[in-house]
Amino acid sequence: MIIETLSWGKLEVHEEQLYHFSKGIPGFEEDTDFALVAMEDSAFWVLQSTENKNLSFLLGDPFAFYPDYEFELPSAEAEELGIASQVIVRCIITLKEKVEESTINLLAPIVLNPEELKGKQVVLHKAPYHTKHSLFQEQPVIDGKDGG
Amino acid sequence: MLVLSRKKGESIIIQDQIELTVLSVEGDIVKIGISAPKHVDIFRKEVYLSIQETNRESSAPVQSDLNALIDRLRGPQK
Repeated sequence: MIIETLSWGKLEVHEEQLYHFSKGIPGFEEDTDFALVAMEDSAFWVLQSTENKNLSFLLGDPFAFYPDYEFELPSAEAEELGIASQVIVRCIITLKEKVEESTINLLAPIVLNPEELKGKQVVLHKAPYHTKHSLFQEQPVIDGKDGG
Repeated sequence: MLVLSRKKGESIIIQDQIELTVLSVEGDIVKIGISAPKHVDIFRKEVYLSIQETNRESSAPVQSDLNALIDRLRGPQK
């Protein structure tokens, strides 16, 4: 399948990269289908809407930035995503022109089921995380509400 | 907006499936118990708004900012 992207123009993606987000993503509920594209030579992924080339998110591996990151996926969400054994967790990065001000959203990870190709931005209720953690940990939290 | 009064222990039913119960009232803090089907997502509104806002700020990342980020992570400071 060929999709339109803002950064790379037309891009060929494979079936196993196409994830369905049945509830969309908060703020963009109308877009439900995304391609997960790994960026070469970096620890980042792009989650690109297959319907709207202007909608994409930069994702990072939260465990790479915060090795102690952990949460318990609520059973309702695991069931909704049909997660049996495999699960992929990525977090949305908010890029800033000043690189050191870029943040990662640990409160609402993107949880993916690579077997059924379903995804959801899961909001953690009891986690001590926020929507804007510094990528560089000089300032642990920049702002954003927490889940507790 | 529907406005109604409830006492501690009393409930509200929404669409047969969602039940809100007032568990306790202490000063200006009300504890509410919510029973809803699993597919219904329930959020604290300010947390949900914060996530929506963060997502809007994060949509359509700028390529030059991304290049700068990758350079920074590869640089000696990391």
